[in-house]
Amino acid sequence: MPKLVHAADLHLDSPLLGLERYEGAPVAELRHATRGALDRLVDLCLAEEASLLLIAGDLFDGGWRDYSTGLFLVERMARLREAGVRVVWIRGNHDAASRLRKHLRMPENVRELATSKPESVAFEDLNVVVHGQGFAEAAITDDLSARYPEAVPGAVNIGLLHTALDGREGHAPYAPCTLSALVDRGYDYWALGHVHGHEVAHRAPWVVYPGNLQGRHAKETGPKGAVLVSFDSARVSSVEHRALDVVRWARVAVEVPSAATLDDVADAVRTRLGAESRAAGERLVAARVELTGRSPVHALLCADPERVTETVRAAALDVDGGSVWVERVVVRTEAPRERTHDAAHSAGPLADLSRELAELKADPAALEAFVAGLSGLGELSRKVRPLGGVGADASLRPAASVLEEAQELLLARLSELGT
Amino acid sequence: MRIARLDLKAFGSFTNLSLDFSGGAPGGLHVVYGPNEAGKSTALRAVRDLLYGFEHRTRDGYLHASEELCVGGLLEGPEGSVYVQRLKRRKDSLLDVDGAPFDEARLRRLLGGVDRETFTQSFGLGHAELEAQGERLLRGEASIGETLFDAGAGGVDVRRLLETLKLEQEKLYLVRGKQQEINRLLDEHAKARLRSQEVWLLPETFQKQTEELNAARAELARLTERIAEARTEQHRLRDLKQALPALRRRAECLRALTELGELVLISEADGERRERAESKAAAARVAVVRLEDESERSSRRLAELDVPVALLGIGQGRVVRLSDAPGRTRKAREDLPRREADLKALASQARASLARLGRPDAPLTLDAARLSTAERGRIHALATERDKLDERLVRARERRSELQRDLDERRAHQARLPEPSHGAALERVAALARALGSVEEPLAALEAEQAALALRAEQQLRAIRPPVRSLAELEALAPPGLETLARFALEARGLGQRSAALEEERQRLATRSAEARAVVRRIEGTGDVPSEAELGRARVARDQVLGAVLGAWQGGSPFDVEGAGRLGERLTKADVVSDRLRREAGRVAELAHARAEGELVAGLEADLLTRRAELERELELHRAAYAAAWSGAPFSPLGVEEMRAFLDQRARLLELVAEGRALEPKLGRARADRARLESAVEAALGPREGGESIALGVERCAAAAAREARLASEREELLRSLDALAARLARESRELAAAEVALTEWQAAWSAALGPLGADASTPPVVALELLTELTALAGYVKEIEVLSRRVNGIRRDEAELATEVEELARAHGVPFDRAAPDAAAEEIVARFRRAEAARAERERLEAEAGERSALLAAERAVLAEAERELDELAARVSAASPRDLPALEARSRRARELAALVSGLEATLVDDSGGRSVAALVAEAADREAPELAAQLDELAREIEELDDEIGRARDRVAGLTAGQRRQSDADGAEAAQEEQTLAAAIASRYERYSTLRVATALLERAIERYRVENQGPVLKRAGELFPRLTADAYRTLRVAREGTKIVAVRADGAELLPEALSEGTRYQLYLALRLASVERFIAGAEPLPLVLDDATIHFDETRKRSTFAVLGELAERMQILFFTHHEHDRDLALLAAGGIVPAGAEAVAGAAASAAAGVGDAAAGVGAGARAFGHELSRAPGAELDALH
Repeated sequence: MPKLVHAADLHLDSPLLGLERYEGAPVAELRHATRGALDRLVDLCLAEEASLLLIAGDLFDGGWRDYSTGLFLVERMARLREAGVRVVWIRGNHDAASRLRKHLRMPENVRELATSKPESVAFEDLNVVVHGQGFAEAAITDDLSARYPEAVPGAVNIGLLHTALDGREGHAPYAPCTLSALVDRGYDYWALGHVHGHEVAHRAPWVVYPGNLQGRHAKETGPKGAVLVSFDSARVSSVEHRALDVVRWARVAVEVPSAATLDDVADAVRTRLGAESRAAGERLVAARVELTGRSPVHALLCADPERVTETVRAAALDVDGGSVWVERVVVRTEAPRERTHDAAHSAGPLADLSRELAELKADPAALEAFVAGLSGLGELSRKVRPLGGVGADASLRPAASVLEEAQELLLARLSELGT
Repeated sequence: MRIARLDLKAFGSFTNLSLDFSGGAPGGLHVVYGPNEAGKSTALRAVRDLLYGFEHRTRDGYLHASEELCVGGLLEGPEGSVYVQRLKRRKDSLLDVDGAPFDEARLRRLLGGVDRETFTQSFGLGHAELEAQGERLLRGEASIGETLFDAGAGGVDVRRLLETLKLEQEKLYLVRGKQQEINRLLDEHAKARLRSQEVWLLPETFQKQTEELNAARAELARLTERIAEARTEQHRLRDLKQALPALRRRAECLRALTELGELVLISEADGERRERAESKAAAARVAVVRLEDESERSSRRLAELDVPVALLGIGQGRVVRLSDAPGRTRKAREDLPRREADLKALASQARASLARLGRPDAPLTLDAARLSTAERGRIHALATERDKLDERLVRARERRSELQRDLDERRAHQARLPEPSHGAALERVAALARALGSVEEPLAALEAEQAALALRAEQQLRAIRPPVRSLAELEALAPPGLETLARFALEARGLGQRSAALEEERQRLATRSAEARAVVRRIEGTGDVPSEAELGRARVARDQVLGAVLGAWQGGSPFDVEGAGRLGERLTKADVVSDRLRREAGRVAELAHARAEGELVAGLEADLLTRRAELERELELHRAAYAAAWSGAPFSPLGVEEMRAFLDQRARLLELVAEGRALEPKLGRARADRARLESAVEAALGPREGGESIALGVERCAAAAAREARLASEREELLRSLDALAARLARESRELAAAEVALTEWQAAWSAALGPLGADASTPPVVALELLTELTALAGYVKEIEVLSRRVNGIRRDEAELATEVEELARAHGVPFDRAAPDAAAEEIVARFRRAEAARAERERLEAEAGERSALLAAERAVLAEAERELDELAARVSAASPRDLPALEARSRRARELAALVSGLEATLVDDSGGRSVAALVAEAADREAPELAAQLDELAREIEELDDEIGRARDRVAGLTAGQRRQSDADGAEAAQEEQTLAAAIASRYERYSTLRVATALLERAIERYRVENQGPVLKRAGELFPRLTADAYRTLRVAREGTKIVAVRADGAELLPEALSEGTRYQLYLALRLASVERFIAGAEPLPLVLDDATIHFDETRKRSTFAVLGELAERMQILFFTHHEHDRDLALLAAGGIVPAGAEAVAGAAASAAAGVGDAAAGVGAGARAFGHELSRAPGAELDALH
């Protein structure tokens, strides 16, 4: 039975975000993650003896800064050519024709569909017709699918489309379309791209997002890869997702309700990360560790977050040969007993401090003004913002969240001093 | 909220310790005294843990297991009181009085919303905090706001926190910094961005590199081609140069060949043939000459030879016989006489043998000596059988008589054995003895045991104290129980201990009283001491006069000189007293202290007397109760311990009586057994003799029974052996009869066997056997005589026959013969025959040799002819005139062949070395070429190749470099650089977040400090300014803000303003305490008051300031509960006096409370009357069990 592989959003050679280097961090395994994932995609095509590889946009992350990205792709496409695998791809918002003008001569087994209008390519030996249209420019707001041709009777019809289907949350609303429109088109399989999570939006006909090939930051957690589609001369018979990522992102909540010391925290972290690492197999795990629970160490954790991060990272180094990279450590613990301080009924400087905080929290404008007025901070924020990615995220962190952390820090330090 | 009672049920070192803080509501100053290590801090923690729950890791779980820790308390709030208890566990740790879960929210409401930290910090003040804050004031770094904040928050050192926060920020980032983490990372990021742009591979670069690579590859191909050509040319020239000498040699050889001219070549084989033919011809010629000579010599010898043919006719066989005969006949002739003598001796021996056989006349033949083997065997067998038969008969007779004798003896013995008697009675005794075992010893032992018990009981009864007349009386006695006695003992011990404690306290008070008196005496001894009272009196006197004077002035009276004088006098006196008071303040204070101590001790001693009387009453009651417990006893009781011993003895004695009674049934059984066995023995043996024991009777019965058994078995055995003997005797008689029959049969056989021997039947076997031996000897003699006779006759016959034959031959061949000595003629005949034989043999040899020689001669002649023919033929083939010319021709042929071979070898080498070129081509190429010219051309080529090699190397490097560059282009340098940028960005982001948190926290804290200052500086500083003079016993007037506005200053009584760092240590503590108390007051003004817990907070205060501090605390205790922990006995007493002095009605009760506390009882303040506001408590680690017993 013939097979095809459907992938999207490779973002070849784009860096992984948010991983700061630290002593003992598995640096080498981080390099070339997107290239590694592409290699695994090629391996999958060869191992499954797929006839066709479909790439539904965002093959590249943007205009190449480096020609080698293209050369690398050509090499891998040539490997597929040797095995008789044909490739059809379209441009997405990241590698739209207007953003990525550089021409690269692809091997003859690779076919890019037009960006000006929908184009169909028939593979008679497989009885398959692929219809699709790439992005001419990044911000396409029209429904491209509306102009896709009618299905070819008697053949397996596949639609290749980069789209924010029904305005998928968290994704730019490019080339929007509705599920019902796609279902009604009469195709057998819609190979979509753009949304980075794997999703089967509809069966019979199939409407599928494979998700991106390699997670690139802490929000893209879990297995990432492509979809393997089996079909016969008349219909699609099975669809299965295959994990191909090289680095796996994970948000790891570690409950520390009974920890009394940092060593206890380290033990709990080691156990949880061990489980995470085993689940990810041979891959490097990039973990955001969140410490949670009502815990006696709450004050200790809030008083010195830096030491906590060091402790957690050191614990991660002990996990299964150190194949875990701790992206960051988030303290979300609570004090062992509810904070009973009732500002309205209490007096004294600490009560005043609490009142101060409560008032600032209640008045966002005052809070913004307070934070903006802090010398040094604004200036640094202006330096950090242009770094993009995590730098921009950090500089744009809501003032309320900063205030929350500052409050925990102060209370923890004051209680440390007082007892 | 206040704590009415604190129960340390299981906490720290305490078990079931209860502290009653109910007195003094709504406030009350509770002074809890405990020596160091008594657990003051533990009690403080108990208060906190009760209200807010146990810490996860408590310090107080060392005596009691963590899950058993429990602290309880009766809490009073505005809405009534509630009892709660706290356990150390995760869920439902707060319980009500019945152990049911208690709502935490309710407790929180009772605490007015104050959380654990605030309670700990705002309502707890320890000596350590005072010291730390005093130290901080000394450093003088803190601003007013910070100082107020610290005092309000319970000594947090907010300044240090601010500094730490700022330091952490500065480590991360400074606007114009270089080394700070973020500054450094930003710099690295900028560099990384530059670096990544450097490693980007631009498409134009890629195109250019590709073109360069193609050009470099083309150049490399061109150079490779050119160098290949040059190398080919180099090989060609090198080959040519190498070939030149060989070509020259080849030409020389060809020339020499030409010079040899035309000739028929003679092959090497023909040459060899010629040499072989010549040598063959020469050898044949020599052989012919030698053979002809030998032939002639042989013919001559044949002619000389003569052979006698007749003589040879005798024949070889006869000649041999003739030659042996003389020796043989001579030996026979010598042996003959000895043999004849032997014959004669044998004949006489045979005759003698015949005579012994009894047949002297019988002929000497073999028949006379012959007897068949069967006959001999029969005689031998019968002789042997006769011996055996005789032996058999003898033995049978002997055995029969022996058996008969034995049988007779045994029958006699049987007749002698006694008759069997009866043994049944004896058996019965034995069975009974086995069943019962020994009967006499156990009975005796039981009787002895019973006697011993009775004796011991009697002895113990005599020894018991107090004495009792009889066992029955003792048994009838109903004494009190052991527990009752233990209770009396415990009571007695408690009373004793209390008595001792009272005595100890009395001595301590006496010492303190004496010390106080000594101080008063010492001070009074150094002159009178002014007192406040004296000053008061002087002032009252002054004021009276002043009042009178002023009144007079107001009434318009004229100036009264006397009054003025009196006023002046009184003023002076008051001033003098005041001045002295100031000057001698030390003495005044010490005296006042000593007197106060004296009064205090006197009060305590009075209370002691009352408590001693109470104790005496309790003792009396105790004694009466004890006597009542023993009513009904025939004696009056001794002390508890003695009566415990009496009860022990009584119990042991009653045990002995019971033991004696328990023996009776055993004794009855033993006596019955003895009677049964006794009657059985008497039935078997008859009545016993006096004194014989039953055991002896049983033994005798057993011996008799054994004897009877032995006799019965002997009788049985004898009967069995008599039967056996009779049977054997019958068998032996049958055997004897059989032997006799056999003897009769033998005699008949013997008579028959002796017939051939010629002996009669009576010949005994020994004689018959001897006759047989003699007959054998005779047969041997006869056989020897026959052999010897035959040999003597043979010798004589041989001699005669030889003589006849020799004579015949001698006559025929003319040899002289003498009849007497035929041997000589025989020898001559033999000699002549040998000579004739030799002549015939030589003739035959010579004739054979002549034949062989003539054949050899013919062969040699043929060889010679053949060789000569071959030589002629060879010469003809090469057209030589004669065979003699052939060697010279052969030498020329050989030379021509050598030259041709040389040329051919040279040509082969040339072809090989020139890469396959033909010789003709080589010759053509080499024409006119000389070696030097070729060498020069080769040098030129080598140079060119070397240069080309270099160029190719460079071109290759270039291609490799460009290829590597191309390969690198597909490497992810750009992507790696981008990753590096992102890695740095992540590091910056995380530090930026940290920085922003720290920055905001710092700003918030500064803001809170300022806000607290603004809101509280006025009221707190004002109230602290009022408290400070009181705490310093008016050495200072007030507190205020310094002129520069950021610091607090203390204003001395003389108006001087001192910064905190300029104050003495104690005064700094008092300054801080004033601020702290003012803050607490402010706190409770707007909220529910909580108990204020002070721990040794006045240690470094002097006596006067301690007193005034306690007075201030006493006032504060009217509004809020104060728990004051101290380990100074003096401070405790001072606090109680100072605080209680304000309310005279409570003073006595306070003294009572203090005294009770000293008695070592956990809480003795329970009985203090209402109205008091200061209460004493003592902490002790009295174990719970003891507490229970004493209560």
